[in-house]
Amino acid sequence: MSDQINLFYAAIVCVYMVTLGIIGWIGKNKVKSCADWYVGNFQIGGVIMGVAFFATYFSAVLMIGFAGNASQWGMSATVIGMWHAVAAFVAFAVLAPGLARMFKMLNAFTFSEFLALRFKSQALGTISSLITSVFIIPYTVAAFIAMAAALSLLVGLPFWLGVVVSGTIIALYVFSGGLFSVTIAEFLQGIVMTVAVIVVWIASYAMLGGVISAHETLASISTSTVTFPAMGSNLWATVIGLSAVMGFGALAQPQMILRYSTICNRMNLKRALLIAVLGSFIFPLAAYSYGPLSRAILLPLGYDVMTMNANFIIPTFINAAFPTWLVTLFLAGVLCAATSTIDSLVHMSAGTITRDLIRPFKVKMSDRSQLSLTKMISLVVTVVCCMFAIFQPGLIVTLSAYTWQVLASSFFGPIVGALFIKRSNKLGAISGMVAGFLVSQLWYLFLAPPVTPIYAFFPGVAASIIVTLVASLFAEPLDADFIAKLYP
Amino acid sequence: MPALLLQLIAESIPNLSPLGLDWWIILGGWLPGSLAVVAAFVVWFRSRKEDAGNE
Repeated sequence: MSDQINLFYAAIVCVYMVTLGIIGWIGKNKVKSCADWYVGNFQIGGVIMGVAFFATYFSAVLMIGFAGNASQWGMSATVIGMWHAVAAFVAFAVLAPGLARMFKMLNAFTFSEFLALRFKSQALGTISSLITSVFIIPYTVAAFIAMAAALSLLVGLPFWLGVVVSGTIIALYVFSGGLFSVTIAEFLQGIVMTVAVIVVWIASYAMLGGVISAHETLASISTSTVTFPAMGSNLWATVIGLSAVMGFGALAQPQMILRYSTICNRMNLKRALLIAVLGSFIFPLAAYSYGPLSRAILLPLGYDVMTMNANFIIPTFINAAFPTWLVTLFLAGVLCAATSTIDSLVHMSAGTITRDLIRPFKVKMSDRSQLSLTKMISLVVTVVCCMFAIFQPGLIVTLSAYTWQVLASSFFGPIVGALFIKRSNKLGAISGMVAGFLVSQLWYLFLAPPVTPIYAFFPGVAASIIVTLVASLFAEPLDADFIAKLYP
Repeated sequence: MPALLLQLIAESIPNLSPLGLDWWIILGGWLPGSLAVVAAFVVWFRSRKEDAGNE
């Protein structure tokens, strides 16, 4: 029976991989230049980009890791999820119009290139691409580890083979079709993963007799499952900190910026806004809800989530409480969630390394040779990440733990300056980026929870914005004609 | 007097909302999230009307 199930799952995984291969082939026919590969020639529509945004945003870590933590934290974890929708609204309604206009005007293909052109400083582009590369690769490795673990669970593949299989297929479709293939794949993945979490969410409430009855059952286990944690407690700091880091921290992640800066026109931007906000509302609400509900469902089955490893709670819950078809749907969702995050990270890393770290130092480079080099680097990035995922050096695991905080702290000031402060300049942007990076690093090392209840994100972002504004006052503003074109 | 007023308010409002969750969860998370969805609908709907008017 077990072999039959494994064969069934293996068939589903094969169909999924073949679909991704076809998407790569479709994208290959559309890619003729660097602009096509990097930014889809600014032609990607709002509906596809809206789904791609939240498919990139939410990974398997939310479906399993954070949801598992939420089963121990209680329904207050839903607060973290709700702020994702607010962040998506800010991304598309406040930041995207200006960023999309400037990206097109400056003909920027990567986030680091955008900073370099906006502030007329190659040094800024190089430093930002170095920070991005150093911290995005560990994050990609962590996503590969999650995906290979899901594949091992699903098909019974050895972990290393799961890494190789997932790495090969992702490398092929990113290599072939660039942003075209990545966003089409993410569109399909986003739909599957959203259906999966919604079905598990509704089924969990149904098993407990409806919304109010489910919350009453949770309250009968412990009132802390339905109440907000006491101010100043460790859980309070976690809920507040993660609401900010996972919500507003997303606004300054280069791979997320590429999602909302490359939409073709205003109407498509509004469509993307609606879909991204809806997805960012329903997906985390579902995941952060079925987490706590699993506690009430697992208790009569003999499992106490408070004594379990958080990473194993949701797999145990899904396997113990649901029929085979729902287990399959959920695992397919996990696979899609992991892939949709990895492909965007590989695409963005390859683009940044080629365009911002290599190209500035090569005097002559045609569009065609740059496209070939970028594609080759996307393969190299995937191979390196796969190797790290198989051997898991300690440093990689440590770096990935605070990627979001470091990137948000480094880039928030320069983004705010670029979009809203005409007076901001090269000195301000570089100083703000370095200050945000250093403050977040030092805070993370010496003052992060449990030493204080404050996450490194808060002082890091504050330092980045304040230093960008203040340092800009000590240098000449950029020339008036250039600024007038940027802010019509 | 303000302290007495706050105490009266706290005693008259139950901790749990009609959904069976603490009011802080509703007001601190569910409300802002729902407002973002409503705002997204409004922005999208207005831009559709504007585009229809321009055609």
